[in-house]
Amino acid sequence: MTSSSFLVTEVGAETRSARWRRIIMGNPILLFILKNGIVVVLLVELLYFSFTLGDRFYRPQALRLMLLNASMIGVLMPFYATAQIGGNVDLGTVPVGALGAVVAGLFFTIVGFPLPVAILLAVLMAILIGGLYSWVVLKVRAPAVIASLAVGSLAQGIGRVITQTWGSTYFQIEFRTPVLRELLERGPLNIPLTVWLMFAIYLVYSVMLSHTKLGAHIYAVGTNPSVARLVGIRVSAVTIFCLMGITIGSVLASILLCARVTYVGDTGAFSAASASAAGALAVPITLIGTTISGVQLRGGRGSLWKTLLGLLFFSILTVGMGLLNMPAQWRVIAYGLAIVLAVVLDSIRSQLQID
Amino acid sequence: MRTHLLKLKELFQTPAGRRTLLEFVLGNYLYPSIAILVIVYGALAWDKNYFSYQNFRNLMMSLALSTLTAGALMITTLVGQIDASTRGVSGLISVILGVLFQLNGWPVLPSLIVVVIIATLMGLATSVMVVDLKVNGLIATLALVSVYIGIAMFFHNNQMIAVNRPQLQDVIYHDILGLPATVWFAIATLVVLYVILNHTRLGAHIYAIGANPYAATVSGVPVKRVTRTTLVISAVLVAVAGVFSTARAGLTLLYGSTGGINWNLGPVILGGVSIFGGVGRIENILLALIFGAVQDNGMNILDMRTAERYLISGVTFLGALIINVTYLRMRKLLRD
Repeated sequence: MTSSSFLVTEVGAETRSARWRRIIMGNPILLFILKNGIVVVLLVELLYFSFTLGDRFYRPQALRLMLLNASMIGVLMPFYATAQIGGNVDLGTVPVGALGAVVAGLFFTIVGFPLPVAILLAVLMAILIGGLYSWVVLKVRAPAVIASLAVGSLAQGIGRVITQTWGSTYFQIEFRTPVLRELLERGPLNIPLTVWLMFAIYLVYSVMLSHTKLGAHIYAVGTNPSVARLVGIRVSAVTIFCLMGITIGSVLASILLCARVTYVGDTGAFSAASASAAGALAVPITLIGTTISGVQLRGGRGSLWKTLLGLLFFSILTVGMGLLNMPAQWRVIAYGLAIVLAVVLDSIRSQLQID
Repeated sequence: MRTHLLKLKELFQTPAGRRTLLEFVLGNYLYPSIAILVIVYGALAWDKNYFSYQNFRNLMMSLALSTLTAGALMITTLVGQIDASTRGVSGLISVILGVLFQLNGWPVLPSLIVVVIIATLMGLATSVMVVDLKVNGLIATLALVSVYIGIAMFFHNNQMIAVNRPQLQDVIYHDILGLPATVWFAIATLVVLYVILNHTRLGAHIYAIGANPYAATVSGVPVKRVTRTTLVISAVLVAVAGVFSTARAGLTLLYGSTGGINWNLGPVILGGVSIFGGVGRIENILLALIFGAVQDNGMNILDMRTAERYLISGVTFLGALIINVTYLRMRKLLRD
């Protein structure tokens, strides 16, 4: 008797995760929240700021600022998200981008080359760094997280040497580019050109990811690189494409950002634009943006358009908290908690295999 | 003699021999590197009293600090969870110490006890994310850094606090046998970690989990408890490092007295710890730490510009990563 009941419970028993999975799958609201966490969080945020700020929040200027802030990182985001889908989590965007901008500043301000040439040289620098990065990941076979930290600290060192040798005492080089700033200020429909640029890159990359062979290959490599290699996908080529994208994208984004603040230097430029609490963020805002939008840390899953919502979430948070005159510590904590929430949601999603 | 020579010839001329040689070099390159560094800096800074007792003391002090953070990072890396929260933990601890000890005038011992308790809570918070919610350790700890720094900014209106009551320095700089108490504390930590990792069940479990968490679970290793324990030990060690560096600077250091993840991970992987967990010995880390301390000390005494320091650290980190990963791959190849 006892043995049979023991057997029955053993067979009928359900693991804890299976039970949670059943509960969530049976509840459309919970399922929607887990699958589209970012949409829900964004709605809550919008409601909160609408109530507290009222009309001030919906002024065209505020909306324009939110879009402009989002576009500063949005230019990099498609590259970054694609690499993450391809299985490469990168922690080196800030120093690598800063180095590129420093190179552009060096050739534009100090040497006196025309702006396009300076930007071209910065992109060349990005390709060099990207080449080194790809070599470390593919030939040395270090995981991208660690390789990007190492390449990033090398880039930071080179950037520091340049700014300390040719820049001011604050490790900065002036970067006054009326042409580029004009692009940031104006554009069709009174929307800055960088916002259009961001949408364009998003469009190209999402078509690439969902409608081309390369896109399918990126998802395959992100899901399982060994299997991808066995079915004949050129894993190295796909990885190089992803990593080069990140370095070039971060340099371009960083140059746009530096044109806005009119100097280049090794400060955490990306965080400065997205979060007024500059130095406090240890994680690059791009990684938080992708993860909060449901791109898996292990790669292989994620949608590009949702990362745009993730970006908007952060830029609305920044502008909203700025309008509310919130003290700096609350802002840092709000970011921190948002990141914690994002990674926990990601972990629950992947454990329960809901996607 | 002749057979020895033949063996040596074989080592250089056959592919297998060359591989053994390369593995030996990659596994032991730190000894000659340290010697070369000492000779180079000694020659460059001869007239700046490089070989003086005072400089040796400075070297040992910074070595003690880096030993604590590296020990913390090593033990979590061994279980396969890289703890990147050093900056946040040491920052918050530094501020709390400043508030309790300096502003409220608490005695040293109660302040330290409270600090250790808070560090334990921080370790537990990390473990809730890593063990219970199964978030990747590196990401979880990076996320928590912002929360910790945000909390720290609430104290004392986000102003730095000058920690200048003499009692704390008296304890920390108290000389025992010619070396300050911090150095002895670091040595004791090293010994304890060595014993734990090599001669206790906890140590065996740590290596087992890092090597293969699934296999460890199946063989009955209490994976959750062991991971939690390492995360708490790590937070407490980093907190102690935060206390030491606060006392040394005489200021609360919000943005990390112990540097960011890319500064601390360097010596750990330079010392041969696999970033995937399960591989690494504490004696090799000590060697890497000595390398780092000698380098920092040399750069300090030569009064090098910050730019060059960043560059040298970057090159060292990248080089260490390349050597470390190559070495681990070769060992795996030879074993298979």
